[in-house]
Amino acid sequence: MDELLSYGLLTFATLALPALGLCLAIKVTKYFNLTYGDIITAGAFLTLLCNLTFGIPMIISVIIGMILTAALGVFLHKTVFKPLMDLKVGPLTLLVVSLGAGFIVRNLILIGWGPQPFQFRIPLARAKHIGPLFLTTNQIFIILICLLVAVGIFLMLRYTQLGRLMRATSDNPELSKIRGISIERVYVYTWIIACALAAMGGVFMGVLGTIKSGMGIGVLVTIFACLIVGGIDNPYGAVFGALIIAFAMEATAIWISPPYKVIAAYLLMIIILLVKPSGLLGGEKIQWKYFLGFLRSRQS
Amino acid sequence: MKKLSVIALVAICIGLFSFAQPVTAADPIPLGLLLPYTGDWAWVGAGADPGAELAVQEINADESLWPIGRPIKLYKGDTETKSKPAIEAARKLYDVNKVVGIVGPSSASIRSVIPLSKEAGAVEISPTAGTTKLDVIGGGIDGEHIYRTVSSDVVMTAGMVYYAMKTFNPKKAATFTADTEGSRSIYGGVVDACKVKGLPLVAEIEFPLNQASYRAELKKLFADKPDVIFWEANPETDATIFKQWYEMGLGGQWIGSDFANRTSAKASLPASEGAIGVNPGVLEDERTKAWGERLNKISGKEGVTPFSANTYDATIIFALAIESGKSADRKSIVENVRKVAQPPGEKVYNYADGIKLLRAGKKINYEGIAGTQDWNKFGDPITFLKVEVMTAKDPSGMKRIGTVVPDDINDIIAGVLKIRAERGK
Repeated sequence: MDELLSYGLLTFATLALPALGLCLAIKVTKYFNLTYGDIITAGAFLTLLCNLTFGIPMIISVIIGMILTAALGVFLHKTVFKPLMDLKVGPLTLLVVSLGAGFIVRNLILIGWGPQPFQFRIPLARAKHIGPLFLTTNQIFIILICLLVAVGIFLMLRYTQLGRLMRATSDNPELSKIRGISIERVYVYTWIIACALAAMGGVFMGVLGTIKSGMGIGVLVTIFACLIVGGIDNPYGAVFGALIIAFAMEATAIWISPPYKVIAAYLLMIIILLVKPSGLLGGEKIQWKYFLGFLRSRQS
Repeated sequence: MKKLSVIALVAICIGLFSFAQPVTAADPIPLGLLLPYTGDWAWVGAGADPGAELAVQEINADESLWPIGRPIKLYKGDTETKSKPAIEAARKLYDVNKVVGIVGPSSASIRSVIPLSKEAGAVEISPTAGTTKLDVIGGGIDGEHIYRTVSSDVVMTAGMVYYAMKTFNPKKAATFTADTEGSRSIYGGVVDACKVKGLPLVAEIEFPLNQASYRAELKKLFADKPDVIFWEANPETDATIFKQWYEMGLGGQWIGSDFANRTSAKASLPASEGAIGVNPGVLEDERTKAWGERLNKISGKEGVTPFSANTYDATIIFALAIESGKSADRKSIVENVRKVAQPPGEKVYNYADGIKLLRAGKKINYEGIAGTQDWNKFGDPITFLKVEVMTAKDPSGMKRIGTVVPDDINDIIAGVLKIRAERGK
């Protein structure tokens, strides 16, 4: 049980923030953006650029990486997705375009860094027993940061002006526009937050494992599984979903067989889709089908 | 309308012109190079590619020594380390580029491409596919002209177990291999070789590649404290595995296959310090040293990149087979490919000597950089194995610490083949 707690928390730390970021992006912009996986990768590589190439200390590298990744997200939004949204294209079109945009980002990373894996310049450390946990200092730090950032995002959504604007835009964009809210500005802020969280997730994956060009797209389906399990339209659900998926994967690896741990995540996702399509904490208003254009309009 | 007519006319003219072009004497001979340039085994493509480039550069260097008076031109295809893209790339090479044969691909996709090569009536020489699935097919049997310039994994795994027994005298061992065809091939070879040597396996763990965490797998692997762990993954996964193995403070001596290479070392050091790789290698003689220097100019990297020697040999064998049959037809290559690389011909150690002897009407036996390339009836050679240790002290990430020659492992190979024959009954 001790190992499940340690390994489950570590996997949770890599999934929670990207899941939260993607949830916010989907909730506000109302489409699945498959570029998100490659934005996770970009975040890790931009941080790597600062840390490994320029020799900047890790903490500062992470901050610069988050800023650069947010800038990349805003750039993609302004140049690719906003023009299409202005044309009132459907969510399915945006989904396909995001797939292409992700492909471009991924290949640019591949051109820049090549296919080989990289590691951050961080000293190796042995894990220690701390209560029921068996973790290194870096790992404890990552879990704590993950929890703090998640709580910070929840507080931001609930108590700040930006949070209120995001919730209002998410609930009814047309009405928000009539009330004088700049929808576009909310979209930009949302992408800044979502991409910064993606970068952080990418860095965590890199610190705990390795950094490579396909890392984000590889984990994207698992992140979607977190959202579907927790509830696509609920940020709390995204983090809760990450917790469930992480522990389900690690429990499968420990008690059944390691190769089945990814299957466990997808199996859980399918079960939730069949039993409660809106997710464990999701409202009935937005379901996954909506984003594939099966339901009629954005406002229905 | 008038504009359309003009465009159509121009198109027809271009079409007719291109069809009207006869194959002139100096037209390059198209040769396919099908490797995993992207995907999980991108490092295989990156390592093997310079070998083919160097071979073509040497073949084309002197116009008077071109095979049948024509230079070789490489057409490259990317398997993406998957079957479907490999089939599509092979189809393009055969149907569009009209290649006379293919150098490649790797274990991940070779069995998908074999039917296409059979249908095209072409020779396929894989410089990287060690999979034991090829041990009983190819070599021209059943119209499958599949050859290798790399040993079967049976040879490599025999070398891994031999080196472990000789150096560490382990009482218990374990396997830790990915759930891919290539890694299953290694796993099967290690299990049989351990049986031959009486080395008990206390854990046999298989895992998916490129996961963020392998802690649960490592915990299971070390539950019975094996002295030696025979492993195969890929560089990305190795980086994660070794980092987490180090963090967890687990012991044991890691012994890997051809996947325990410089790419893997660079990705996983310093956590992987001391891990050993037993894999196809070149000898440390003057000829190989000079070849390595020429290769470095092409690859821009220090040392011999993975599978470059095998890819070099495969490309040279194609060129010699073309000259031997005095034709670049696929059928002629099929008939001549064995003739240039096998006894009883006169041994030749480079392309230029080979082609000169062929023109003098003599039989030749090309002795490759990666090995003698003397194939058995299934088109498989036994190449040399090198032993390297991962170390941050060496700039390349790996330091050579030994060589395994066929005499060292012949008894293990014989034992493994006997076990497999009995299993097959």
